[in-house]
Amino acid sequence: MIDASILSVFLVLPVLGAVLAWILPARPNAQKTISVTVSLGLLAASVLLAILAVSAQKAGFVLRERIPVLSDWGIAWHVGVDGLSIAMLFLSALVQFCASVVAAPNGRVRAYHSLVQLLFVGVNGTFLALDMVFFYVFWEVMLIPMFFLIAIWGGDDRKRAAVKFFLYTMGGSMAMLLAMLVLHFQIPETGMTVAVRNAEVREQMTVGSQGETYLYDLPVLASDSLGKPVVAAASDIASGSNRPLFVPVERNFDLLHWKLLAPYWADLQILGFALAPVALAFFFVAFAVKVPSFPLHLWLPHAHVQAPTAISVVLAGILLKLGVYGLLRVAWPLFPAAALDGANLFAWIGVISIVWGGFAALGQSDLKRLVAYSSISHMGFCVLGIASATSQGIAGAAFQCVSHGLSASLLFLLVGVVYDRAHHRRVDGFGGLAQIMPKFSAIFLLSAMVGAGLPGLAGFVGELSSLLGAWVNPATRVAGLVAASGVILSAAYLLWTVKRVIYGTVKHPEQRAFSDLNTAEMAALAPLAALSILLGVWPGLLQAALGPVSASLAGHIAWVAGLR
Amino acid sequence: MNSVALTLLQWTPHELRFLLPEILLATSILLACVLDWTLDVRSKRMVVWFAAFSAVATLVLAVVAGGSIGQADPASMFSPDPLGQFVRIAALVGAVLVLLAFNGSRSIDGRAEQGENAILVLSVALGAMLLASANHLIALYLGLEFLSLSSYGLAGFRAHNAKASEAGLKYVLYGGVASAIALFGISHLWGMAGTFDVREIGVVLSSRGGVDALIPMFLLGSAFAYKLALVPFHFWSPDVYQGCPTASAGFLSTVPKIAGFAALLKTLMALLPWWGVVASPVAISTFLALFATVSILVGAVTAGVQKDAKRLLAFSSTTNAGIMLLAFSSWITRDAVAGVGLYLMAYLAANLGAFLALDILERSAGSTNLAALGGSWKRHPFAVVSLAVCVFSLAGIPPLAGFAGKWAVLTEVVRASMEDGLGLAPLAGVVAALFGSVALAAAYLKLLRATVVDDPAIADSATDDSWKPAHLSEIPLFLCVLASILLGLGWPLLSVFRSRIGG
Amino acid sequence: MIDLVLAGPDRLAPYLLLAAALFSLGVFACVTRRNAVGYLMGIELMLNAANLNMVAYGRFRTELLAGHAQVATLFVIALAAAEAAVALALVYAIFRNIRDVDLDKIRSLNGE
Repeated sequence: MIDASILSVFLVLPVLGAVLAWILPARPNAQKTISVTVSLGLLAASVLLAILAVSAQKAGFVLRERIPVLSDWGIAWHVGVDGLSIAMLFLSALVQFCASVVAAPNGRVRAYHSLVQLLFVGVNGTFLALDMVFFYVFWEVMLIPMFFLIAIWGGDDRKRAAVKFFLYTMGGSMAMLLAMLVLHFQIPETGMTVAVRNAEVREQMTVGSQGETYLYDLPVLASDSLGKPVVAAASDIASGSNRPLFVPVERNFDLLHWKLLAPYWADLQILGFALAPVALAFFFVAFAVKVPSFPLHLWLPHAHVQAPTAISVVLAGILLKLGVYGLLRVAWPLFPAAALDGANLFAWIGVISIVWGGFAALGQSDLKRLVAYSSISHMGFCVLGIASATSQGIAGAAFQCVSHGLSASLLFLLVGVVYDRAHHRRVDGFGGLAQIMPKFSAIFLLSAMVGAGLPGLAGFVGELSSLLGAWVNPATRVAGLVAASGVILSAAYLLWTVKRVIYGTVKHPEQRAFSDLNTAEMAALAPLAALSILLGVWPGLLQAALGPVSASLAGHIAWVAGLR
Repeated sequence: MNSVALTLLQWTPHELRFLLPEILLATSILLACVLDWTLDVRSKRMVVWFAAFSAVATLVLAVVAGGSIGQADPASMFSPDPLGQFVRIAALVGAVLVLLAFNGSRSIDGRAEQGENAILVLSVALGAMLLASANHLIALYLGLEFLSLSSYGLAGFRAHNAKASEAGLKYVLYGGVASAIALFGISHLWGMAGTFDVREIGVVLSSRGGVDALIPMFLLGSAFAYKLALVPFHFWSPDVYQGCPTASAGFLSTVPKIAGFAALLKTLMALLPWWGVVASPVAISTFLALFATVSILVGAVTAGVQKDAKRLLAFSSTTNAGIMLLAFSSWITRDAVAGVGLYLMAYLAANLGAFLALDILERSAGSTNLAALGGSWKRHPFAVVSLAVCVFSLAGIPPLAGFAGKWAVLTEVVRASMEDGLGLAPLAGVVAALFGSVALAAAYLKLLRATVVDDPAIADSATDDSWKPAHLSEIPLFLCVLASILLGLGWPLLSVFRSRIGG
Repeated sequence: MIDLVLAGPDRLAPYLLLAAALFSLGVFACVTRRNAVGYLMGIELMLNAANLNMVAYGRFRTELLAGHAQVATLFVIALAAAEAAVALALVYAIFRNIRDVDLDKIRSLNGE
């Protein structure tokens, strides 16, 4: 009844919303209503998917469909969701809801809301795509709306910020495009047969009408007693046999097939040097721009400060997660051996992000810049977790994505509230707001605690898991230890900010006139805050989705590395 | 009616049967000349409309007669093949769009010369059609000259303005040298090979061997490089586009390039057997790839420092031409030809659209200087948005048409480099193309930023805030934008290209 | 090729050399002339050098159809005339505006 066509909802609904927002005349709340409705629809769809995933009890892709589009090149409309994607889609819808509720563009309302919807088409498409070409297309689709959103509705220096964002992202994407093209033509034109991990087959297989096994629409082969390949029977695999299994892979752009080719990529040589580390580096550059990881993070503080509040929320809440998602979906599965070899390097890159971001945040006097640098710092934990290539580390990175999405959105929304009241964002320009805006202060304190990683709130789980993963892998152990000290930094700057802004005496008497949170702001903040607490005390809720995916990826990495 | 057409067809000499669209267009040019002489100054607009109408009629005829293309005798002087048909349609579509855009164009509308301008547009289109279906070296030269002479006239059109007539003069002087060099090369090629037919030349030279025919080939190649504005023969295009009326610049930057690429493609493919004898595929591929890479990089980097929008677009045309030339370094496979075809379509829509948008913006801003374009966002939001879409398509951002074209070309070059053993140079060219795209995007963003700034820095007395473009002149711009978007989404069109324009 | 160089007027080579010399003179004229009309003369020299080439090949390479050479030459003469007409019209247009045909002055009109 529910098949993979439901996934198109995530793309069709925002497109419809964009068209509607454009053609309807600009009434005071018409466009906002459309945006909020679309986001609620997407929320409902993602919750439905989550329920489906839970009830299906499947470790792999819950829904998946593949329709060949340009078979000459092997390009197919291949979309699917597993636990990771569902979590990301839910976060995307939630962030869209919060951003739509507080959106207040000054002028050109129709264009603003259309562009936001188009942005989310790109975001959702990237989370759904399982074909490299469509992944790339949706990745790039986000460029133009984001450029305009910052360049038109942003702050004083918005144009430079928008250009920086555009060029950094596009440069990274070019690296991804080049790597993609080169990899595609490394597959022999007639296709090849690769060995496949039995555990993966057990998790992800589909059974045909006569009991034959398919993995990602490819027939699974095993050698019979004479050594000839025959299609393996599902019953045989399910019973846990350890016969070597193979799949025939054609030359195409399919991400899952490329993942199966990981042993092939690992051994490939071009011009005398190994392909896998270079390709991994290219993909890492492309995704590191988005994460954003040191040293490609320079666009973020600028973009965050200049973007309007709602767009900052979108940027920090979901756009940064695309980088981590790319690492988890594309880079690490394709080149596990190279990733393991470089674990130490990647871990230290993450650690530098954590520490650098933390120290930079300590020195900021602009609230938005402070939160921007704290974003860099928190996303460093994601990189650390992924670098460790263990199931705890990867699960931690994914969890941190969600929890940072919540905490960053909270913080940016709150900074937006304060800016709306005071028309400035100087940390020193506030004091004693707890006496003036109690609800605001409560949520501010909560958000700061989430960001600092207080146990019992969502931020703790992700960071702990990443650090644990870093410890488990001997190569990343030292880096993990240094990163752990970075937790102190985040607590430091967040608590200090809270003290300066919320507590103490009221330094500026005119601020006594500030109104507390209104309904719209409350509507945006409440679900985020509630979810942060919920995930803090019941991480299993999210872990149920992320755990199997991380375990599977870690297993895949270990298996390919073991083949060497 | 049918019997008349039948009789006419029977009387027409066999070769001319396939050139009916060109004949129709030539006749309408002559009729338009007569019309222009007889009409008084106030009704000159009728000539523009007549020209547009005849371009549409020729387009319909070309499409209808397209079914019989395969039967054309490949040995005759002008024989349209699918590639030629593609150029015909592109040239005529471009002509119609530009003629529509003349309404309201700052430097053309309302002037006494607009009739002649329209006639010249038709002449350029005719020259493009002739060039693309030429099989014979003299026919090639004829088409090239027809195209060039009409372009010179079109470029030098604002004769009352010193800066503008300088554009035309520079174009004709440098173009004349290029044509002369081409002719010198043609004369030697003919003397060495004994025939003017391009394919036979390839066969004769390949059996004869010998490297000495390379020199005239280079001479002919440099003339093509001039027409396509490839480095180091690209220096004329910024000055010419800056000087001539913007709508005409849009036409001149697209249609002659399309025809030039088609002719170059035909010539190179015909001479392929000879090349294989002269040098190894790797050497030739490396040469072409290096040549293309230089064009890409120089165009992209220089575009970023330009202070005038039209000069910026001129350098970006050089980069785009370089990327298309890169496709040739894949030893001109069928997929490469299809890729170039798709890229040319995307380029036509996007570049023409960008110039048409600038035309509208220029009317209020007074000039296309980046500093003068400020505030255009408030005056003409539609034109600025269209400019943005066209420019992003040129940069190759999905899901616009430019991405589809780039994808087709770059994929084929990577494949050829890896599988056909054509060496690393094409791959280096791909890297340069990607880098060039980012550099070009930076230049385009500079252009877009300028239009969003609030007040023009240069207060030109020609600024006209209250002017609104006629809806009719916005239609071609809208169509270009639509094409850019639809071509990008309707990517399966590429399969059509591959099956029809190939080999 | 060396033996062809030393041959007399009843061989192909001298005509080709003469054509090449005319072509070089034409290029030289284009490069050095400051007067726009002088530049055009250079272009005409180059075109006629090509014509000479074609006539010479037609005369001495008997396997080629001589008719082709003459027809092609007539083509080129006509086209060269058309080109000269257009070019001179544009020179005149510039002359009307700045009353000078000095190419150095013309080159400085449009900046950058």
